[in-house]
Amino acid sequence: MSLNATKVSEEGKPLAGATKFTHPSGSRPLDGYTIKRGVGRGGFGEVYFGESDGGKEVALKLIRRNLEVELRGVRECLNLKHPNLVGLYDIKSDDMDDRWVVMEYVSGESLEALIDRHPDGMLRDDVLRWMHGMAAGVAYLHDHGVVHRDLKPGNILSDEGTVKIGDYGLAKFISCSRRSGQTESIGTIHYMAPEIANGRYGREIDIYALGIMLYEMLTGNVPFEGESVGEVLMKHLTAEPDLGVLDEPYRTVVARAMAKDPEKRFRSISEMIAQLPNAPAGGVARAAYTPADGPRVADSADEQDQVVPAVAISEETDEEPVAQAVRDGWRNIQSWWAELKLHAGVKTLLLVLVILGLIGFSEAWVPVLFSALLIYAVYWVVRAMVSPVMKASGKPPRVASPPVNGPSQEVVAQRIEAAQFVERRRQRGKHRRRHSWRDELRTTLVEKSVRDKLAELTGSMLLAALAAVPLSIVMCIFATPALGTTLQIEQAIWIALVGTVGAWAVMLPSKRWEGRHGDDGVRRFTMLVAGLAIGAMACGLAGLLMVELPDSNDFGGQGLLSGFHAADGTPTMLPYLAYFGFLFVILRWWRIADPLRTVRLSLWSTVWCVAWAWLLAQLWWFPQPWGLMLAGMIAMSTQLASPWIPHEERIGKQEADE
Amino acid sequence: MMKSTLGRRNASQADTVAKRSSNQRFLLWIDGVGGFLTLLGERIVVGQPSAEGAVDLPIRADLSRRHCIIRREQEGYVLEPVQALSNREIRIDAQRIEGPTRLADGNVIDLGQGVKIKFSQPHALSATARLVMVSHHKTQPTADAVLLMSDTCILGPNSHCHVPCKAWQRDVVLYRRDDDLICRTQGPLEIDSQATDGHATIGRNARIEGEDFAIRLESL
Repeated sequence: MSLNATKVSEEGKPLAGATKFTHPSGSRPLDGYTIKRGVGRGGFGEVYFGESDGGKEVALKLIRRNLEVELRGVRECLNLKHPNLVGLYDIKSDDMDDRWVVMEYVSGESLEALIDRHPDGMLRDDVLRWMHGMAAGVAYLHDHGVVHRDLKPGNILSDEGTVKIGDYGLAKFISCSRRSGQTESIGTIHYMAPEIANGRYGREIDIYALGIMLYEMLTGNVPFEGESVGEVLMKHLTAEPDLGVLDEPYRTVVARAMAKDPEKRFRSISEMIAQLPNAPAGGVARAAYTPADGPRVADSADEQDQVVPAVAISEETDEEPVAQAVRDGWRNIQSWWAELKLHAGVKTLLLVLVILGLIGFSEAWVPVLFSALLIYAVYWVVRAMVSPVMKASGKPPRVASPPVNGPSQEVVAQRIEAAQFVERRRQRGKHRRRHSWRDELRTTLVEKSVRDKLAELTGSMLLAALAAVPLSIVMCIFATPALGTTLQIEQAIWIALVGTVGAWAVMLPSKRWEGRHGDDGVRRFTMLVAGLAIGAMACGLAGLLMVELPDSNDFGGQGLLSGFHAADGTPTMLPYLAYFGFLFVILRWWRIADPLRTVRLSLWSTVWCVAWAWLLAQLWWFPQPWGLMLAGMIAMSTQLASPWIPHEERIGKQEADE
Repeated sequence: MMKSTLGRRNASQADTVAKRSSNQRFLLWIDGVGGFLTLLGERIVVGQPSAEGAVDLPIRADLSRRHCIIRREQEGYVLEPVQALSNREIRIDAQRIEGPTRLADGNVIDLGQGVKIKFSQPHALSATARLVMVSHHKTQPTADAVLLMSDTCILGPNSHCHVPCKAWQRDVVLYRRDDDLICRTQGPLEIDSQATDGHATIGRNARIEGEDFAIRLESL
């Protein structure tokens, strides 16, 4: 047969929607059974609809990954009997030594197809019928020491009104497709309990999955959706589901079933189901055949590409706990804010109020924050020194927890490991790829002629000067109320000039370093010199313009060092030199001028610069808020004026690279 | 003279009908899509499966041996109860019918005893109709849907195809010429592993393969 199942197109990808199977209709790979048609394809192999010689309709699952351990799970389930489980009949080998699982053929549609047809949620009665059917089957599995581990709508079918759970007892791969075909055995992360990341596979993960499915049946959506595997996983780990859309008793049941801590979930399926209303009489609806109901074959190309998420988590869990807690908290606040259902205008107003509040009460919280940061810094240093010692002393590596119950726990552990390996390799591949195109872009930057570079530089410098004018005006407007004086034109001019020269001081050496990997030490030293020069210039300019720089105490203390004031109270040259020198040495300013920075104007970088400026001002007095304003302005005008390669061009480059 | 010609034509028509209604059935197995019981006859007897095999569309349900007849007339279909049954009434869209009744696209036929079938004619230019079981009952042999095939039957990615095959790139058309069944598609086509130019007569147990599909006929 020339057109066989593994046919691929010229590009090397499987054909879109390829519905080709190894065994054609009418063939008899397995003695006693005739293949009628291919039904679907999963991570483990293919599923066929077939008929025994006696006329019994069966589903034949071809296990290509012919691992003895994989079949052990199926074998342990072979003699389980329950009306809500897809019956397993036998395991057989064919002449090619492939293994087949002979099982009950279920012709009805999957819960997945049903949910797809009800994007706003299913009828309550139907939800309860499905829920009770699933619960009965899963409770039976648990009662027999089996954890399903891959409960998802694609695995739940209906046959003449009876709910049937399929795919139990098979070792699972984990992938990210939310919806996969009826016969797909690849798990999806949308139903994956958080503790799976730590290799914990207790029956609680089935309860978690049931909670997610209950939510999905009621609302039509899974509680955690995301663009990427990592995003969804992170939500499973940290985010709280939006339960506001549910009413009682569903809200309580879902909340408890989806508790992050497995110990806080229902202890058993029966406990969970007892809190739900009884199922109404009658079976689950059988839908008429529609094209969408046909078992879909997963796009294997996508699936393979996205196998496995677990790594991301296990790497992150080794992080410093305080930072992690802070970051998680921040993320929670962000998602809460994003989901807050308020008018955009109201939101902005709230934000402004909060910021004004923070400024108004800065005297109260700034010292606290500062002390907290100091304590944290000490802790961080100590931890950095201690943790390598701890690691060396033989802290056991993170492995899957010992098997609790259920078959082939070690298989799953192996799978995860294998999958992690794949993911790591993939990421490495991706990194390499990214590096190669990045490097190539860098080379083009280096190869630019001096003339081009000069032209670019003068353009950027002009732009920086232009950007400085409106920025200085805006800043002065904001600074005046804090100072309690009126704005003087010299102040704005001084700010604009110093800001411009500061931006130039960043851009000039950065242009020289553009596209090169260089020694940080040399660069920092160069920046120090530039900083000192700016300090001197700023001081001189202040004298020349006779600018008064009144100091507002709102922005920080008097500094740790004295002798910065002249007899009449005006600052001497010393604070200028100290402030700008240190500001330029402590930050890697050239990074914000790099044409390959992530975004043109990063708010984060700007805030980072200002934050450091503020910290510096705690040590070396400098009239504030002028110092902070200058730091922010240099950061912003440098970013605005420095050349930046848009992502489209980079992607173009990346594609050309591949 | 006139009369005799007419009589002969009627006879030959009756012959064809007889020939087609008996044994012009096959199963259409489509990988990744489903199994379809395809009936070529103009006159389809619906009833309980029986050993004699006189039923074209056997349904495993509590029906009479010959429960009703579905006839193709011009471009439409007529449902005809076989006999007046006191305890078995047939309804179309919940309306009880007494005699032959024309079927319309989307009608739900209730044969009594909970047996419900949806009738549709998905393609505007083809008289071929599709029957799908609405109730839990199954046909014998089990199929995902029943096709009452007129001259053409279109399998393809669009919803108006007689057999929607979502993942496919293009249509595959089966059509009848005289007593032959012909398969046509754009792109490569293999019949029983023999490459053709996208257009070939197929046997009643043919295996049809293309770039992204595999179909097999199984005669009954």
